[in-house]
Amino acid sequence: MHRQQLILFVILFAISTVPHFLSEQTNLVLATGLSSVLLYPMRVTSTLLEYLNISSARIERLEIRLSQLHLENALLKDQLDVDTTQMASPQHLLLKARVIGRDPLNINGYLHIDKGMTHGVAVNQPAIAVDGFVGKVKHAGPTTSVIETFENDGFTVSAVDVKTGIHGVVRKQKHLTFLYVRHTDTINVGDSVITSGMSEIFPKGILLGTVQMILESDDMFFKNVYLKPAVQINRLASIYIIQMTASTPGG
Amino acid sequence: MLRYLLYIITLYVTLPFSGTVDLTAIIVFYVITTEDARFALAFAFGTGLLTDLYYPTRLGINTVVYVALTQALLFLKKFLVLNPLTTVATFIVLYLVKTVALSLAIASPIELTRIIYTVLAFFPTVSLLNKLSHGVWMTE
Repeated sequence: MHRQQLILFVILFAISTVPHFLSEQTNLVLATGLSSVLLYPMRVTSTLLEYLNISSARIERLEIRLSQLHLENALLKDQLDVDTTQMASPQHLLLKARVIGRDPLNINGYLHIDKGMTHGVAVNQPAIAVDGFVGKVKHAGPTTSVIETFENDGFTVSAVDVKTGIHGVVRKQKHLTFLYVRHTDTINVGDSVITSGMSEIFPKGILLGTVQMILESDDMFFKNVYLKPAVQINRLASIYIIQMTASTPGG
Repeated sequence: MLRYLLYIITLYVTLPFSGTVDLTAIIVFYVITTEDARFALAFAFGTGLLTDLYYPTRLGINTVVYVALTQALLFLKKFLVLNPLTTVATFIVLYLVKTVALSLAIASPIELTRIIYTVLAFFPTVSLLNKLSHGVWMTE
């Protein structure tokens, strides 16, 4: 037993020392050959993880693109004078409404629209524009309604950064702010922030804005992330009310 | 046989993290102290080779050090009464020898933080290996 062990040791030790007597070129060829066999499980695992990471980011991008295309399609139909008063999608019904007034005390905070309960408008239905998120129905009258936009102070919506998957809350304070991003989180200027879907009101995937500025704050846990809104409220002439169909998950 | 497979799988799983905490060294030490001498030598050789390939510096350097230290420990094992204290002490001494030998061979600085992390990780890793391979957290 002891003798076998000694012989094995001598053999293994001799094999181990062989590369030290070979040229660099030979060692390189030897290492490449051995790596391709011995490190195969690691290569497969890392390739798989990379693929999953890319796929998940791609799905997220495609979801956003899809919702943008839905809206773009609606706008194009509008331009072609097609009746877009009501447009159906598999999950949502988009009701087009014209902006007919604004609150003089809070010009961008509230919008008055020409659709009301008789058109199916109800309180808390989400409102969007071609470029992205607008707000929600605050009050629904018989033929007109009031929309509370994200420009209204204190308006809050749960959101997620598309690129990094960081969840937080977007709130209008002095600026449109993406809250609860920790100091250790990596978030970049230019990242798109969308609704996270963690709400009974807003569906996932509506573009809220892009990260405009990141400032380290005095807060012990979170930094200040400011967004550039996707929609300019003061330029809106028409919006779309999202009405959930019965088959909408979470709707 | 299943235990041997477990060691190999554990080796592959821990290898990517061994740049920070030298878990492979702990596994090799565990195998030497608990398994058959021939398997321990072959395992040490394999570990050295994988380390050489995954963290390339000079092909064969880790293999030489691992095989030599394994043979040394197999020899010393006969004179040691392995209890938790002597086990930790032996590991620290051998790990330091390994680190210094490698550092001298490839002329690289000694990473103190890595040594500290490895020593700290020794006991939990050994306990976990004990639980996985023998079904108990700690052997006498």
